[in-house]
Amino acid sequence: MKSLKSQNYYEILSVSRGASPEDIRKSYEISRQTFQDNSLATYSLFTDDENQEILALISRAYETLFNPELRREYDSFLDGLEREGAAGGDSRPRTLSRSAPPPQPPGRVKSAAPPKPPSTPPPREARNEPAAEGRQPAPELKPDAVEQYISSVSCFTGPVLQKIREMRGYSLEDIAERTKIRKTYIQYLECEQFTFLPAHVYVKGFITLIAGMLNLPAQRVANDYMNYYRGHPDF
Amino acid sequence: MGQLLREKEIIAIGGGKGGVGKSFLASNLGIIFARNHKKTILVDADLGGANLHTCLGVQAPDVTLSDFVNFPNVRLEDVILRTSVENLLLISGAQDFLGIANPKYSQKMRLLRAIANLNVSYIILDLGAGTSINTLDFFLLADRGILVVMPEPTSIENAYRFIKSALFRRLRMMTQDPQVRSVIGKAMDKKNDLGIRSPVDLIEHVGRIDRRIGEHLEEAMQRFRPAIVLNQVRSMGDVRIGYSMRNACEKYFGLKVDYLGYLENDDEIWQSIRKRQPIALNGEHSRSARNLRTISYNLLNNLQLKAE
Repeated sequence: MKSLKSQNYYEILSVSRGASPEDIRKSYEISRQTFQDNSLATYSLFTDDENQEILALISRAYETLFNPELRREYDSFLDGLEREGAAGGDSRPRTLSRSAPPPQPPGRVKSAAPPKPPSTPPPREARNEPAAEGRQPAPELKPDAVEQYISSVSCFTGPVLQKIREMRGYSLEDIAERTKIRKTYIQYLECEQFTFLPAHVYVKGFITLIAGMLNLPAQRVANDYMNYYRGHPDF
Repeated sequence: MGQLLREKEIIAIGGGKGGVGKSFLASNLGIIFARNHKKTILVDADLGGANLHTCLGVQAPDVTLSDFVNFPNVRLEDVILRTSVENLLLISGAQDFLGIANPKYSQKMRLLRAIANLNVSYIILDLGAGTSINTLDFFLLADRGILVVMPEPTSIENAYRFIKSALFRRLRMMTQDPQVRSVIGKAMDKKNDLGIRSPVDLIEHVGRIDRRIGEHLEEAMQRFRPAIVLNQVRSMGDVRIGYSMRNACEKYFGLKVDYLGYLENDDEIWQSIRKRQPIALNGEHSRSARNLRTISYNLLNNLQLKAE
């Protein structure tokens, strides 16, 4: 048990080191609700100012852990701390927070890549290291290939979204389960079979959710998609 | 129904505030356990305002806890009542005897020991409102403590006060060190001059006085794991308050709290209380009965609700 200021980002969001992006998002949602303005759940425990402070910490934790690149950097930062702690041996007490390692990454991590809102794509520069092992569905291609492909896309159409989904190693079921959109709808959207889809406003919503799941710029993808198919006879 | 728990399990149901549904939950859980062929005793530990017999539709009883408390030759077994449900027994609270609301220390200890020695599968303690020392001691006697909370500020505030009072009492009982005990006493007041804002701060502070006691208290805190049940929820937003309370408790108290489930706001509950017919008996297909089954399942299997 540690005081909030000495917790690392995983502890702040109450998730394990191996948590999936989906777990992190869920946990973030709950934390955000817990500490938002006029929250019942913190009534009589925390003041508004404290809620604001905690909220800021939670956002920073989320922005770091939801972004694969930043998360990897943060993980190696934590690993470094752990190695240091282990090398220090048992000379210092380990249970109490005053001896806990500082949770915040050094300025380098934060300044090198400022936190981005969850819907923006990860940085596009080429990466050589493989994705964090076992934490995400194993991608079939190296991430740099996916990012390269994404940066080459001029318009996010159905087949393009399908390709990115497959490159990221997600099945239709994966996306359906996480977005709560029916699997058949996702399939129709990808294969350009518009006949059985609901009204445009829903389609746009679906695309936004799917894009978010694929770590794409949701707004742009949705606009691309809607503009591209606007003239289509079935759309 | 799960069998993970020990042979005998004491479950205390409190909540700080009155009228949040403690007796309702206690009586219905009792019925569910009994119907699953587990011998269960409901103990009306609301020493000042017993009404559990009413929830069960039992006539005002002749023998009650006050007989046991006041007469050393009466055994707890002597005041056990049968109910209309097989396997479900009741020890009724005092009816009209004011003295028992504040029993002497020795009387209380005798009662606690006798409860712990009852020979059944489940003992459910229905606690009174408030955070009096007697109520806290019943809560701390139990293997599992449940707080019933309604999604409104007054109830939530009282629930947190209850958790805090119970936790601090447990911590105080863990140590004889006068300095540490005095620090714990001071820390109960939020505006203390030691700068201790939360239990997390307290453990840190104690650790600086004596590292060993600090670790000892920290272990005690990790074992202290109250559960919450949200009553009268009216929306998904209300349901989510449970997850948020769990989150807030972890951040503030440094405690893991289990969110066992919720009870939807349901006219049938109100009617069942009016008719004095427990919902778990007559209305098994209602939403409330379903809610109750989820709660008891999670309780018995050491599970809790998962956020979607």
